[in-house]
Amino acid sequence: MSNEVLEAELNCVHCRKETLHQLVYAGRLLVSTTCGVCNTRVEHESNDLWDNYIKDLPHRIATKPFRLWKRFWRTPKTLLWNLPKATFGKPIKMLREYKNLKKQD
Amino acid sequence: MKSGMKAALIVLAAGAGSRFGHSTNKVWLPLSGRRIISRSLVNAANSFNKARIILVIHPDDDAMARTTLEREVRGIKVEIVHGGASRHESEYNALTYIAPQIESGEIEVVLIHDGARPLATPALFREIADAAHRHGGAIPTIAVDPREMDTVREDRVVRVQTPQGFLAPQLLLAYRKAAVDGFTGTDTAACMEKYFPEVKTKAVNADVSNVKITYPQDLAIAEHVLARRGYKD
Repeated sequence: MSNEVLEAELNCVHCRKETLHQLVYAGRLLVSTTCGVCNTRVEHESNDLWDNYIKDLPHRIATKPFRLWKRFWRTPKTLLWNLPKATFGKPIKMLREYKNLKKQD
Repeated sequence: MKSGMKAALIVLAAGAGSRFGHSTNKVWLPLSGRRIISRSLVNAANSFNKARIILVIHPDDDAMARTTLEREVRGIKVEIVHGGASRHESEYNALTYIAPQIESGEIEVVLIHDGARPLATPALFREIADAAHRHGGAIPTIAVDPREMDTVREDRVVRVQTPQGFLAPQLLLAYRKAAVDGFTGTDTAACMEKYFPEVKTKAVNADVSNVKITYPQDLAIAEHVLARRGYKD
């Protein structure tokens, strides 16, 4: 789930029908959704978002060893092959999350 | 505590949605770190000691489903069935798949759940299964405030959620009759009501937080509910 921008069919309040929406995430949290037809954008309140992001961070960190362990059991070779890149890429990923959140301010 | 009832849980996720090789069906969206459908499946599975779990998907989502189950729903046996053109058809496909076990008495109760409701708690699943076993059918409902409605009605109006549970042999028979008649119900209860009006469907008090992800803001609400629950359930 490393994608930060995803697309999904959701109901748009303005179009009054299901339309393709673009969803922007920061880490595990949803930052905004934009309707692909009328461009209506739904955003989280920036204070809430920061608050939730900060609250979510310890949970992400605490569960990381368990998630890595699960991945190791599932696909050990893939994990070991990808781990160095993922480890060094983590600060960049966090910085991108920070930028996505900052955009909301 | 998990229920020991002989149940089958059918989780519907067959809504269309595939573009440029990736699914756009909302059930595959992440919700606080795990996909919506994974949360629905885990909550359903955590309700029972031994239950058949059937995931109904669109054929285009087959690879996505298998990867998601492998990554996020490990340790739980989930059987995949391809859905049809409508919700009713998808339900029928799943019921046909488990028909031999229903006919042999291995499955007593069937619960049908919308995959886009990731916050239905294991307690709600158990309550619905128990009520369905006792009364023949059970659905989670929330009373609608008359002030919210445009028309004045004498009778009580409720909002209906899922999971909806029914005794398995009657449910299978109802869907078989519907297939012969060409009847398409809006939900499981509608089909049962048509073919088994004598079955008393029990209205179980539902939780407002059992939201169906429909609008963008539902995702935000679901995130808040999960954060409040400490990311459990």
